[in-house]
Amino acid sequence: MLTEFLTIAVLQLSFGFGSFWPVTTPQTFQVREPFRHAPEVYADQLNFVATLVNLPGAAKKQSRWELSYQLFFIPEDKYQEALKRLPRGGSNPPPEHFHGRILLARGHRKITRLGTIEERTITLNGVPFKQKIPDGLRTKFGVLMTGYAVKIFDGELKTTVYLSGIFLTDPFETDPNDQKQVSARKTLYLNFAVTPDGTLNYSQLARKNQNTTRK
Amino acid sequence: MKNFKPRLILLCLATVLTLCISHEVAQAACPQIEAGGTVYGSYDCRLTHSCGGWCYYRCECPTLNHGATCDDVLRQAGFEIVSSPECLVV
Repeated sequence: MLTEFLTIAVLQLSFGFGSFWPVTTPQTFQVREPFRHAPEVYADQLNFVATLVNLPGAAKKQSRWELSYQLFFIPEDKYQEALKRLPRGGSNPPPEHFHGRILLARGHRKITRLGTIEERTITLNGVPFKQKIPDGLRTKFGVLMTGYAVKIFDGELKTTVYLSGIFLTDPFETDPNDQKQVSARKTLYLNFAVTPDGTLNYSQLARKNQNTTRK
Repeated sequence: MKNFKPRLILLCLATVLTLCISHEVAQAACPQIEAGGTVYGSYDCRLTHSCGGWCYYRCECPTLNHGATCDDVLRQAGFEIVSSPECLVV
């Protein structure tokens, strides 16, 4: 009887303490504010920087890098509609899946001299952005989309790598030190790297070390 | 000999199908969008980079059920939460 009473008392105390003691530390995450008009997070112009960061056969004459790219803006409501038409879980929709997208820029480059990181970088400056987006569509969670198709031949590995896809991102950037501070995104990045075993790594993040000359 | 034509057509179809599937597999290394819902809320994750065989996403949770955090949603959806992505040289 005493044992049962003690057990109940301990359980009650545990529950009581547990209510006041946070089990998990507070998490920081982004809460979406739907359709909040935020023209201040739209840059007047965008830059686009595509880099083939690493290529084992960069110094080889036979090496080639071919890139087709398209930059789009997707209004927030159209993005939400497109999301609902996707299957649950993972998917790889083409740019055409996003109806109502606004084309900002497109281009195609084929590079045959790949010896230095500068030669392996494609830069497009001053792409008009804000003026192309009607004011009513300048909401915080509109979406910037980079569509790409890449073909890389590595002269050392004697292999060709293909990849096509999209990257999606917000029109704003968040301050890494303060998640609540946002500013207009000014540059879209597209990075590729061929590894020594011939696989392709790819990213839309800004490179930490812009001066790397790794091959 | 009279079965040759249907066999040839079947072989061609199988070849085309195999090429299509292998092409899709080659392209679909990492899903570019991971979106859906769990008992804790909904999530919208966008691929930021792929390296070392891993797919890294930036996620938002448009809806959260009472008391849940975005981390709860993402863990339930099968994501591993990492603070700083690895192999960020790319």
